[in-house]
Amino acid sequence: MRSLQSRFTMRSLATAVHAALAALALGPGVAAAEEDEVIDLTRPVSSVEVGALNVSKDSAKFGEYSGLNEKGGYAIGNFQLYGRGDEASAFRWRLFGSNLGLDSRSVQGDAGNQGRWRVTFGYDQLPRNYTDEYVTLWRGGGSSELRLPDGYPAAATRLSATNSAGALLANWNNIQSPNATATSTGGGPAFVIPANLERFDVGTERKRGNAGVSVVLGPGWEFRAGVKHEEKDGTKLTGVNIGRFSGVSALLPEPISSTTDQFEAAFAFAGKQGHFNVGYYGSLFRNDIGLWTVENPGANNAVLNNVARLQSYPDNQLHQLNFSGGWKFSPATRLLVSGAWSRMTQNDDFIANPVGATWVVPEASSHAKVINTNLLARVTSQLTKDLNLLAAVRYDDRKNKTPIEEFFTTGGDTAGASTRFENEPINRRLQQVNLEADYRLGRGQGVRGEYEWQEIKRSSSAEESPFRADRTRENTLRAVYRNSLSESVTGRISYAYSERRVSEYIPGNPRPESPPAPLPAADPLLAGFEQFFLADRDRHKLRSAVNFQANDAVSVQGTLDYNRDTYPSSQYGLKESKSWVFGVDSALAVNERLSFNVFYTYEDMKMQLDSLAIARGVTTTTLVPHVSGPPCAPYTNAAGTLPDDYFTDPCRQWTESQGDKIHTLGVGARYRGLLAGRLELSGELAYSKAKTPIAVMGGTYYNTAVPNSSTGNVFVAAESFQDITSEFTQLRLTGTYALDKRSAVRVMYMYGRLKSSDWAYDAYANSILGVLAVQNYIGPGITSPNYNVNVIGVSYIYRFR
Amino acid sequence: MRSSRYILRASAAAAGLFLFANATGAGAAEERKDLVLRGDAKCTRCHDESDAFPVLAIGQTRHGVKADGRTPSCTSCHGESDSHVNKPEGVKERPRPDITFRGKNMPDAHTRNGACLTCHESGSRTLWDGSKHQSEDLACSNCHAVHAPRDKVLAKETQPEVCFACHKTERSQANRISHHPILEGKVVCSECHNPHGSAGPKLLVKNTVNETCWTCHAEKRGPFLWEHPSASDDCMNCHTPHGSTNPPLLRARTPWLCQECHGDGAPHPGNVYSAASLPGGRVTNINNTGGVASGAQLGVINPVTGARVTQNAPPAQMAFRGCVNCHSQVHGSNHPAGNRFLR
Repeated sequence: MRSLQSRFTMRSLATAVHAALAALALGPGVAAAEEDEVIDLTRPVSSVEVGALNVSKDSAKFGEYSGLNEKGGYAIGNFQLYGRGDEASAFRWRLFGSNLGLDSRSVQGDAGNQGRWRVTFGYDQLPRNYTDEYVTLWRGGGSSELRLPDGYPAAATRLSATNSAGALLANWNNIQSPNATATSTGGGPAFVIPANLERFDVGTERKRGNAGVSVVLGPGWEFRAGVKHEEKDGTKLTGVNIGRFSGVSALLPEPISSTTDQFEAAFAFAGKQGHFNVGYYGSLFRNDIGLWTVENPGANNAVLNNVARLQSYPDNQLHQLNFSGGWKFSPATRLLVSGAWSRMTQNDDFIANPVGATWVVPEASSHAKVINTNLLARVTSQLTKDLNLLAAVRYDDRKNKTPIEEFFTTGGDTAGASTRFENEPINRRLQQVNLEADYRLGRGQGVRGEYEWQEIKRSSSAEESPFRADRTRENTLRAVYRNSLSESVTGRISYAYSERRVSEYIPGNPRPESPPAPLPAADPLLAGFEQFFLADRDRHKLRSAVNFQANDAVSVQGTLDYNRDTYPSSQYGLKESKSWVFGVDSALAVNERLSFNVFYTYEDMKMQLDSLAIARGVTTTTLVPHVSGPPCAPYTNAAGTLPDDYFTDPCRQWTESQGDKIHTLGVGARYRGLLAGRLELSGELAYSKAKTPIAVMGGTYYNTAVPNSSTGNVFVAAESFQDITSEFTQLRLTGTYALDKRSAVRVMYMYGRLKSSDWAYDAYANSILGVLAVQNYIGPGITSPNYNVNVIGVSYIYRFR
Repeated sequence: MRSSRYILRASAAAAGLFLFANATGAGAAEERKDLVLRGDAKCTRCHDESDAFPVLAIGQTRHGVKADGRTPSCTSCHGESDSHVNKPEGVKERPRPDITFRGKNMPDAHTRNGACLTCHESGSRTLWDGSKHQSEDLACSNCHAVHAPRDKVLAKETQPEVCFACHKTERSQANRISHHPILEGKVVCSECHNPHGSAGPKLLVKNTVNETCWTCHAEKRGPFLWEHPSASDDCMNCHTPHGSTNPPLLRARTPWLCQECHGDGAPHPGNVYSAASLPGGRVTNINNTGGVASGAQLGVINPVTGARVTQNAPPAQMAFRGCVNCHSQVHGSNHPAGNRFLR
């Protein structure tokens, strides 16, 4: 680099001498021309790029967010435009546009008289192409009324269902049977589901407009305001259960049509001693979709009026007053404060009671209201040249003031007697204190110690709280050491240990006293199980990094991080989560024209969950004493009972562990100045290979449904899954050839490849039963995404000032 | 893209002007004309576009708008740098300017930042002191290129590469099968984070995680009649923001993610879900020899598979989206019958 620089210097000097001589000879006219060139260098370059590209294949996943989801041609359109007033003016404007030929187009601009006022404006589109594989039995996708296809048997002609596990297997409620075409008893409704599925593309599109203004009111004073308006339309897949557990369920296209408006306004002042900002932020969400319905394909009268009724997200509002500021007590000591008071409300009308239902809904709407209060105060002080101190307090309070009411409803739109439910408004209060000291040991070398105390209280305004622990306290200690080992090598390492403890965790139901053991309650809870975010936790975090800067042309960075969480008080629940991440980055500039960069990251994560399958009583008739422990012998039990050790039987214990092992590689190269300085080449490769292994150990008993047999309940050992995998490659090559000073031609080639496997979709879609592989569930026909797409584009670029 | 030849020519011209001015006797240093900033003649007599650090391009930025009386001169940021301008006799190498922002022997981050904070202390920088980046000794110039016509970190398409220079795990996450459109340039780091310091955790732009997420996902804000405690508590209880192997941006797979809280109930929350229950697995086929208990349907044959219809078909909790196949309203529900988030 240095030699190059000196060569440049020599050449510059020679040119300078020539220029000076020429200037002497030619006088002020030439000097003025050269001055114009200098002026040119100080003005931004505008550019317009137009062209076309071609995508080789359809793929929703490839074009998930870019809009390149369909095979065929697209227009390329990008621009950067700059403008200004005269030399004495501070007026400037800019207008940027990108991806104008795609559904991900964006235009952003601003204009202003700098130092006085400025306006900003923009428009942005964001597609989300979810899938192009989805199939559905229902018609009317995209509307609020999903109906069964023509020819589907009328409700009255469908078989009635006995909605229990012991029902006749061939009735409608076993979704495997509708493959049958006969209408005889047990034969289904004479309709073949797989043959009547229709494809429907699922996705959404966001369109956002924004505008803002800032005005300098006087020395130090400024007013800022902004507004964003976003429209979101399309469909998303939503799981819909019709008739509860013995009914039919499916992933269905929920219609989306909503707007979100955000407003901001603030006064700001900045002076020598202090500065502050007082503002308002508002956000209004409006949903054009209220009620949406799904015709019930199940047995007649399983669902009231044969229609499942769903309510989309309700309209809601947030209004917030906020402030922040800082004050210098002295050049070394400062106070910073920030606070906000927010009011969140939601008062959308409830959907009407279904005709014929026994529902009792006390109000027309929920009058939901939450008040949030946030405060932060931070003092920093440089006690000595080398010692910096920090103290901070933080307070976040969420107070839910939604009225508590009793509701009498049935789930899943089922007929029958209603059940009483009471809403439980949730409150949360976080308090935190931070203390930090940073001491510089020498040039480039220092240590820092940090302490954090945090308390979170969770409660409900209702009689019953959903939280089984109302308070967690966490203490964290962190130490950091940084060192510049030499001019070229710097490094830092930090370690943090956190200990979170719970005030009192209310355990699950104690084991029922027996013999004989009664049938477990509807939702028996397991003693020893603790919910992960309320459980005691020990946390270790290690961060380390080394940076080697050989010279301006070569640099290498290495990082190693380690995390480990353990839950020492949880007999069951999340037991452990740990990960480590290794990364290396390097940049190399071979010369001023050719440069490379490369990075590699490996992440290894694993978490472990323990539990015990309680199960309910089964209806067999022969009682054989249960013997727990290996080899977990089969047994039968009396009707409506379980063995009296069902809360402790080790044969019911299971352990699930899942992890991630992910390699990510990136390579970039750029070569400028080829072909006498006219050609620039660049290339980028991104590669990611991920593997998610899920291992399950232990097992539990399953009912064989073989009556009067000593093998009514047999132990089945758990089995681990095939790894979920994804391998992603993207290569992008670009060549730009300058035709002259102002114009250029660019050729772009992109190759995208995704190869993935995910049993959560593939095992069902690819099974012999296809979309009917899951009992009572009509599957979506989606498989894990795969694509292999080539894109080539050519564009013309024109630059000007 | 400006060619180096063009740059050299222009800079040489600038230098030539300087020589010409001297030659005609009209070019005393104090009379040299500023090229970009007020008082920059002191610097631009040597530094020009051919320099390793091109200086004239600053004229293309907001710092180069001379008509705005607030804009700086070179010395506002780099110091008066007298010994650099007038190299002391007997010194082999010209001393560096008082304050430099790149290369070796830079002053500490506090000093470098002082040059910027003199003017930029308020607004989104209000909470810089004591913030994570400040305490990690980051300087403004670590991310910002003040002389560049278009600062990478301020442009949507290029901002992530600046942040990823340090946040390598997040870069890896952004390449996963489920991700926010970060690499696509549609959602950028600064939409969620304020790198200059914030009142929220993790330098989030809003006061809490949830408030930040709701700026784009306002439909999930509620407040709902039926609240899901883990969702109203913290979105990160279930989600990870930068990328995941578990769509949609979940930090673990369902149903086990749900079982971290709901693993202790019956009948289905506490069940063991394993590959034995996949289609064709041991659990699925456990009773395929028995058919049904009794009645006309004993031994019903599935017309597609030719096999007996089985009772233990794969549980829906293990397919597709797991528990959310039915309990889809996990962010909260306003349906009168939505207490179990089926509606």
